[in-house]
Amino acid sequence: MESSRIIGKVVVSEVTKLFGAKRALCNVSLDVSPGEVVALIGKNGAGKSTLLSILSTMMKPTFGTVQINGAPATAESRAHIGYLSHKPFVYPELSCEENLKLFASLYNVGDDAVQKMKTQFRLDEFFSNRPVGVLSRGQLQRAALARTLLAAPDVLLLDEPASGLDRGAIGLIEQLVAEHRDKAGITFIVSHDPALVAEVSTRVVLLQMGEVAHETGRCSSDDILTMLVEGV
Amino acid sequence: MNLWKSAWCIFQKDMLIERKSKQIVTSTFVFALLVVVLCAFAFDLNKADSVRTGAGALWIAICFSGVLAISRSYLKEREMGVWSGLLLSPASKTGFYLGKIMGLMTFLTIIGSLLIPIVELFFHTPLLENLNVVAPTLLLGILGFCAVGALFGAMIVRTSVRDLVLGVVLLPLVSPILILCAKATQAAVSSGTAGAAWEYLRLVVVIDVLFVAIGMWLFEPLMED
Repeated sequence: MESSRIIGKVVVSEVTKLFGAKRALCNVSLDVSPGEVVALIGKNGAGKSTLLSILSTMMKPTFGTVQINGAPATAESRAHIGYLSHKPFVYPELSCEENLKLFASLYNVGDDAVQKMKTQFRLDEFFSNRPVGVLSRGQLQRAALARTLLAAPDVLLLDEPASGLDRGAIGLIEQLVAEHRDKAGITFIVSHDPALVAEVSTRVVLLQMGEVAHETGRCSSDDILTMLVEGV
Repeated sequence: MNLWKSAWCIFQKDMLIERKSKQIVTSTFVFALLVVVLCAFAFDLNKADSVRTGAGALWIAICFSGVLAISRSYLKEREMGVWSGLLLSPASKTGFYLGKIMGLMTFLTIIGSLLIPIVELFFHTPLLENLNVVAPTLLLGILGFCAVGALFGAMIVRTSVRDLVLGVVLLPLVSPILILCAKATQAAVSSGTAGAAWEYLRLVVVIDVLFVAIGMWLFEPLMED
């Protein structure tokens, strides 16, 4: 990636998101410093994915603001954001390599980044040359992760990254998040896996009905499970 | 990332997907062929009328197959949410629009070129003899059609009523171009000279410039909303 690292805060200020009469997020505020890994946990429909969509700039908040490095998060911030969504954002007819090369061109990064991702995510030649449409859920998730990290983003948004992955691949995610944290990158991770959250996060935020119900520092998987089951 | 690099990326990607799947050109051509054949048998014309009607049949086939091509091209963007992935990149969104126009134009130009001899066969319309006028008419007509189609196609990626939008909004907007191109083709094959056709084509050029300019102006703001 040609652009320099942001190394600045991500500040979410009183963000509210309404879908018609339905309130998905209500006055959510977060102040996240470089090197932090914020885990967003909560039940289905709590607003976790909506918050990630807003952070990615794909969705605009109804009220409130998101600032990255002191400036409002806009389309210009996108070069610094890597977003792993529920959907893999790849063309099913194209191979992993072709998809990665396309996104490398769009993000203005060289072929060396594509090769690095292929090695890092163990996308060997056979796997890399098959259309992604025929890959298994876990393989597809690895391809999506490679696309997300291709441009070495400063802000990493991971929505259920462990979905469909085996233990070995989850270990790879843990390693990637740790490396990103050590490079002073900011990570937001949405996961229902208490072990993964406990392993990688430096802060845990519990969302309930679109509101921040509880916020704590690093904690054990048992504490996370308790928060998920009992609410706080 | 500059406009043309972004456009070239999208164009190359569309060509690569089509080379692998062969879905758009194949399905669209079969549909266009069916339209021409149906028109040829349904109108039951004498030879003199048939020559003039061929021009209309050509543009009816291009219009219907064009709607199908736009719909299929943007359905590819909808699968696996990849359109959102493209929009989240820092690349020029106006470049995406131009890239989609280039891709759609390539598909429809192939279809149109294949249809010319078929229409000539069924309607005895001397299209190949007047290729010096028919070819630019085809290109200019397809450009205007794709300029509007690429804009509305992108708007329907995230809606479930895409066919309705394409049918109800796109067709009325492109109808002036289609009428003018049909008239230009008809004038060329009837008179055998380019002069009469260029009267219509001048207007098509103006509309094309207008449609592309409006599309380039609107595309990015519409995608950001």
